[in-house]
Amino acid sequence: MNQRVVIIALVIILALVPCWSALAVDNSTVTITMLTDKYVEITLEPAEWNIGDVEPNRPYVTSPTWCTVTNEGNCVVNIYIKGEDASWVGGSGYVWTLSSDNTTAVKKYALWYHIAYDSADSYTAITKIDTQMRKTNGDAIQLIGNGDQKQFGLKLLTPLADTSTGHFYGDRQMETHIAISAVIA
Amino acid sequence: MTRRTKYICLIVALSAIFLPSTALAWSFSVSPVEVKIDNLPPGEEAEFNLTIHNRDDVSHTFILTTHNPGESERRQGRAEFPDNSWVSFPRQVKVQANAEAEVRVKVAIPSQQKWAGKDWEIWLAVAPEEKELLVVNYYIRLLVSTGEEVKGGPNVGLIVGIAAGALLLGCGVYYLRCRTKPKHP
Repeated sequence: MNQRVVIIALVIILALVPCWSALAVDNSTVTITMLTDKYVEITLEPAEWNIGDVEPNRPYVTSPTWCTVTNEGNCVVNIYIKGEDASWVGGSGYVWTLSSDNTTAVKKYALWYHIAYDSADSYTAITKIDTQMRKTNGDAIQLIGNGDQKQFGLKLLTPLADTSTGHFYGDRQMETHIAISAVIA
Repeated sequence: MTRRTKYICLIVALSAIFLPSTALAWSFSVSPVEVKIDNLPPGEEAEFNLTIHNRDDVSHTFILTTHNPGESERRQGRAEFPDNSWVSFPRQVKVQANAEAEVRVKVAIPSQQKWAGKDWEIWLAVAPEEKELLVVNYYIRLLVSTGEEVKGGPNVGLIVGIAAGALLLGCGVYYLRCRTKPKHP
């Protein structure tokens, strides 16, 4: 009788071994690493361009050193640029689409940037896709931090005159934004 | 002469004002600049904090979004993050003047074997709600590596262990019954 009890106990223990070993396989450790002593901060000066009244199909250009980007943070950053469609302030539905191919048309405008001291008249298109700012030779704009600066200018080409509906499209205030982004290199 | 006058009127009428919104000024920083999560098992989640420091004298609201960088912009060996909805955080954060705010970010990977052993990268974007023509935007690199083990789903090891245990138990009982069965001459 005693022998039967011992054998049953051994069989149960033997049967439980695979289950315990399956349960014991849980040794994963999630690790989160953060550069907490680093921070990103850039400033743009100026951030406005008051063009005033514009006419159809005309280029408007700032100085090549119009805007200064300063890296006030403590890490090296790459700089990106992205434009968007211009919309009618106070109205709805009337937009100028930002060109993606350097051409303009009715209700389609174009924007470019020029890095200061790059080759003269070398303008790069600003599109709705976030793109790293580069010089004409392909060198990426990188700011090493602690006050490092770069300057750039803008060029705008307005849309062609819109006469299709017979309405006046003058005296409208159009608004757009250009995002200047910084990300650790 | 009449035709010339008509043309000039048309040009003036089509003129528009290309202006940013009302003048604003802001200065802010974000930390950390890069977050690396390692060995995160599918089915589990990890959390961390982002700190937004508003250095301005007035309070500002900041908008948080995600961005999928192109292959050339990602860290080497990192693939595109499969689903931006796996990263959750408050979409808007208001930060008082000259103050900091912490933003809780959660990364949750679905419990599926196909997401095990992956290396991904996604960027978190932080930008002010109020905008001038030029808008500052920061990207935080979020690097996520998943573990090999899947959590929360069916535990294959446990199922196999139980099956093996049950088989051993059955064999043991059968052996005992055979041993105790009286032998007939």
